[in-house]
Amino acid sequence: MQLDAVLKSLEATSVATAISEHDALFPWIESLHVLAITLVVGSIWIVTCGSWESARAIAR
Amino acid sequence: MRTKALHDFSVWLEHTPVSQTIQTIDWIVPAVQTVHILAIAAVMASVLMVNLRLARVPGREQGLQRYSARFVRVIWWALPVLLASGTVMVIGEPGRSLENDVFQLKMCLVLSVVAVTLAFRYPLARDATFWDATAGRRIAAVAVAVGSLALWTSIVFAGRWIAYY
Repeated sequence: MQLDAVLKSLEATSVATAISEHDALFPWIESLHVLAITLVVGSIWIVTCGSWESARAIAR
Repeated sequence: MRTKALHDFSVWLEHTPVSQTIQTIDWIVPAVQTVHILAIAAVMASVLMVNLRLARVPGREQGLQRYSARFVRVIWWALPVLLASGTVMVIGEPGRSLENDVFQLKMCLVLSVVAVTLAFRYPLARDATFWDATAGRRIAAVAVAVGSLALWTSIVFAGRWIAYY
């Protein structure tokens, strides 16, 4: 019940209202979110591969 | 662009056994979408690394040829994965994608960025210092880096906007 009240108050905030009332706002935010995910996951992949290559070089 | 031929093709594709299978089995589209996003992540990070070096942001300590050989290779490996996973999603929902203006724009952007990547790599394969050789080429390199990043970012954005058109 308490969580429901929190969610309802969150839904009533000006930010939430703006997102729900403007057609283009949600797709823009979603696009930025996906772009950020790709950069975070890609960066992790680069660092992991770099560490793996360094470890292999040391082992050799 | 929405022609009758394209619409007829979409309707035909939607009724093929392969499309019906993709539509029926619940996990196929989410699984393929996940692979698609992971491949985009590999491409975006590689593109960012190559283009930042091309724009000389991390300096010139590491040669551009070595840098690009490491990361452009990832782009060429990820592109077939993107093509294959994208094809599965198109077969699953041909009407939603093939006739969609944003999807068509996305495909044009993909072709453009492949052309830009080839144009960047071609002179570098012959001369490792090509993009660092003169002031004019250094300015051109920054322009290529900014253009390539803008194209890839637009591709990611277009991928999301397909759902809203």
